[in-house]
Amino acid sequence: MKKTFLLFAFIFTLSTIQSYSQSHDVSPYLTNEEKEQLKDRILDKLEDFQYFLQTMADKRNSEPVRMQAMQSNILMFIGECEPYNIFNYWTSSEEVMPAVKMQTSSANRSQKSSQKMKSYFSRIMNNKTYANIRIEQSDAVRIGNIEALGNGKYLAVAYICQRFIGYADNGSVRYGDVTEKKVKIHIDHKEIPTANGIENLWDVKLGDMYVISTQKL
Amino acid sequence: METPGVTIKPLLSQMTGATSLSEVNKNAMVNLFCQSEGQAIITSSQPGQYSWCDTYNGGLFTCDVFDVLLLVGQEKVSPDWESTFATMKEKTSTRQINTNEPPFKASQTPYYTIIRNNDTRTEKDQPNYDEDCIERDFDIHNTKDTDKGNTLYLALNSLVDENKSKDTRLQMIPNILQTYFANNAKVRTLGRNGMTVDYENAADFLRRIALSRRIAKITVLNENGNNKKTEISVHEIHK
Repeated sequence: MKKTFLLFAFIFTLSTIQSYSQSHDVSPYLTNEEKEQLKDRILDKLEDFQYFLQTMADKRNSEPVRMQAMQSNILMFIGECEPYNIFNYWTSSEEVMPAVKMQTSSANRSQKSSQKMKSYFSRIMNNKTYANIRIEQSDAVRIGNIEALGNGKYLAVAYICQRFIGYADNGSVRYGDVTEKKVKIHIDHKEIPTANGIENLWDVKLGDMYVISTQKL
Repeated sequence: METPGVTIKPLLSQMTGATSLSEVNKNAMVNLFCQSEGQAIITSSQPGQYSWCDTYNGGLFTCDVFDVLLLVGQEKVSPDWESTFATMKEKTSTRQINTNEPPFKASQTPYYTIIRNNDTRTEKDQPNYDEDCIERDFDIHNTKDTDKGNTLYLALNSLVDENKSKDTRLQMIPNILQTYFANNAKVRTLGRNGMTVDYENAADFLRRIALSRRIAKITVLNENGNNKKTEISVHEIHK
């Protein structure tokens, strides 16, 4: 009986501490309406990412167009594809994270490999394996819930589907696959100076990308 | 004394003849609806704004439309579309709209266009959203004086014009930057409810919209700075 009482007292104390800390959390938060709007923005960014990647890969585009598409893609990622700081909720401190990575796969092998996003972009731009590459969005983007991390930071996961086709010199298809990928999405609250004073910005940035499945075309 | 099986009927059922709209001058309505020729278009809010409603009355703008039409009938508002729309706009835009979520207040501003049959066109508070402008080919070196007020809008929309090649669009960016933007100018992209969803350097923004294929139009909602803008707010309209 005494043990049961102590257990209840302990649980009660824990829940009190939690509700106290929640009621005193003054960090900015997203309303449901804002979350829905940010989901639309995530969708925009992922569609742009896939189209810019397609523009970069397609050798029929001029070199300046391919380079500018790569630059626009770099800016969409957290830390602009360089190491970045992230808030660790458990230690309440900023931590330096490595540059964003892209995981790649092939239908011809079981292993997946990971590389820095900038290296991946360079490989796409300077591909020597195929005469030309076509990368395109092959299915609708899906976006999961936006979850709070604390300190004005949120995280979401999105799923994209890419069709990759590598062409030979004679225009025939040398390799093709459809890969489903999981994308980390970082949302960070920032205050921006405007003519009307300080305004809130929920900055959406793309993060690491992981392969979920690969199927040969 | 009631007759068993027959209930008391409301006063309305005992009326005979036509319904009388006392205190409403029907000639005002005839003037407004039957003796005007042309097109009169009004929308409840501008791009980037919601059209709000409340639980009891429904759409706020719709309520204002009926209220103002009643005022026309009561001869409190002149029976012409210019006065009618101006009053509707005034009534909706000055409303205090309280919302359930932060920032707990909102606003909406209707805009309208009246085109009379003699081709005299009156546009009030129309955002930079002229379809005709998009059809014209924008030449930054050969801007007409008459286009001056709208050239930034034209310049931005020429960058999303699919009839131009990506190379052409990218080549236009340095001139657009030099002509319209101050150094380190910023562009805020606003979502449907006015929420800021992107904040970029002008050069990055221009490159992004020039290469994107999902944007059909860019609406300029706000400009700061004189000839060279230090900050603009835009809304993207997708295909």
